Amino acid sequence: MSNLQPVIKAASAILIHSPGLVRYGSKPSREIAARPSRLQELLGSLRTYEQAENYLPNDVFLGKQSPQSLLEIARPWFNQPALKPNEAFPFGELVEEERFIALLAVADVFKHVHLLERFWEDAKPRLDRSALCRPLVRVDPPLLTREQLRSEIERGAGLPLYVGTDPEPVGWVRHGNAEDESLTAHILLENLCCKVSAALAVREIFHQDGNLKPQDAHFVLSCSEEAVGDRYQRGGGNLAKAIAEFAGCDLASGVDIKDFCAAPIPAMVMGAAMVQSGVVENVLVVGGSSLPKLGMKFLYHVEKGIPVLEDMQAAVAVWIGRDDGLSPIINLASVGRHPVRSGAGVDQQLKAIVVEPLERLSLDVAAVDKFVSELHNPEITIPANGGDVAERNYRMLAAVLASCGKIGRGEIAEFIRKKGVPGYVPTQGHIASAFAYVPHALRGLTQGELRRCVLFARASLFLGQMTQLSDGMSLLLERHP
Amino acid sequence: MDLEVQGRVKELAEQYGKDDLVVILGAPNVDSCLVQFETITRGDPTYAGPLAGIELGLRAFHIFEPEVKRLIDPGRYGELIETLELGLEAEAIVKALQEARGGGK
Amino acid sequence: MTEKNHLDLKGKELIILGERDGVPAHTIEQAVEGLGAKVAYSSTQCFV
Repeated sequence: MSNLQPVIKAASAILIHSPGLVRYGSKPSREIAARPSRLQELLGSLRTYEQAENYLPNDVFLGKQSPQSLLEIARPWFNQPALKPNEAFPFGELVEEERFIALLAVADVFKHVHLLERFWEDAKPRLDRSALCRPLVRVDPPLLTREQLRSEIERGAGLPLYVGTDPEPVGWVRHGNAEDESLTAHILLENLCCKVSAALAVREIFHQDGNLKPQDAHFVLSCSEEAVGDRYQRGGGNLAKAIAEFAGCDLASGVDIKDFCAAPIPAMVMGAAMVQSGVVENVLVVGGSSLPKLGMKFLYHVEKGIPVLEDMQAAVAVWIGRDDGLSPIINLASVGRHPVRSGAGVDQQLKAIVVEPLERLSLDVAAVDKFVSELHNPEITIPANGGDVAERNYRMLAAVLASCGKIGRGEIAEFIRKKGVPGYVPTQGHIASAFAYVPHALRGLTQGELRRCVLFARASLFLGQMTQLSDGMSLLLERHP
Repeated sequence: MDLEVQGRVKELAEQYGKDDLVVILGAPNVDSCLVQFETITRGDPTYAGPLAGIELGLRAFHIFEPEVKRLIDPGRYGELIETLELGLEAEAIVKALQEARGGGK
Repeated sequence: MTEKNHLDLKGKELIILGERDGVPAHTIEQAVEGLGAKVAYSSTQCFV
């Protein structure tokens, strides 16, 4: 019997600059509905593709810079020149809005998304030139003349699509069913954004590593934030299979894993368990992007005269396979869970998901190089009075470790500096929850100096108003011995 | 502050009156704490929500403040709150609220 | 001293505004249990 130890063979990251879609984020769409002049304020504060491309946190997300560089370069980061303007992004691509919107139409097998003829004529050659996107384009989308598009918009049974700040619409999303609130154009658009970005992250894995083939992906676990379903089953699910189909993983099936922002960790645990138990040989864990979170803090950014930095959609994919003698190990004996009786406090949560597994494995804090959790970009959250989420998590973890006698009270600052990772990830919930760091962890645990990384994530279950509790889960990644 | 929450606070203030209501805050940082305090005492500073321009003047305390802390059994406080206090900017929050009450400096 | 030092929760209606990264409402509810106050509203905000 071969060695079934699960390992991470590849990990990819995708960013999509989507300024024209920011208006359809949850907060912007509510604000614009209440006060239409908000749209102009928003449009006046959006970034260009070049600004997004030169943005240090995006460089870190896509692997051009290390997370450490964020500590060396003072904020604000948004108005600084590019550090390595001509270098490629090692972990993935920064996709521009034209290609992405064209892919939304290509990915829509129910033909609700229509594109302006002229827009498709421009976008099609861009897709054909892109090694990442070309394999996804197997059909042409439905097209509209300008007059037809105008009359669809006048009828009003859907949503117009825009690129950046251009007032001319380039497409249209129809409602999926006039009598089904789960299939409105807005919800279809959210789900399509998630499907396309996730498929891009999956294709990026094949693009990076020629040894990993679509037909070897046996199971896809989607830990995305969407809810796909209909009026009889709002969160019915299985976007994972739709992603597998679109990404060309013909032999894969899949399911979705839900746990608010923490979902990537249980998904990785379940994927690794499927490999270790021999159910399948290879599992792809993928998190697509969250359209609702675009522009979540835009009012604060506009008010403070800084660009709307939540214009990025983000996706991550991780390939879990059997031991190859090289790749970092997912140690399933390390998994930390957050039981009901731990309550909702973050200290009890961290005791359950970080301290307890360390004790179980008889590991000292010194044996772990990085504790990785919510890596939201502080430049987004601080102007909105939210503070630095990553730093606050580390401060709390250090306090918990100190109260359990794992570090000294005088070592808190040193712990945060040495064992933490500064925030850089767009506020895309689940992607920021340690998942975005997996490509960095893979690099550090193979080519770099890292020996062990603890990934942990936290879920705000109370937001769904079924319990006042939160959830959390953790996992240890180890360098191959 | 979330518009739904503002709406609920306003409703409750109308229902019970300010003398019978006490607000307990659990914010993790000074900025967030001050925005909440201001919203439920002097009105929504962003003028976006139901409390815009409405001075409810509710009595509000952070759970870290001595006024609340002294009411809670020390053993229970130690078990539930103390580590959170250690991990958050507790002293700064307490000081900021005292200053905010002292005339909105 | 001022009246605020003599806070008494007996018979009061509480509005509990917790935060995920601070003290969640659930934890505040547990902490003030038995002090004679009723919880009129309790909510935890998540910032991200």
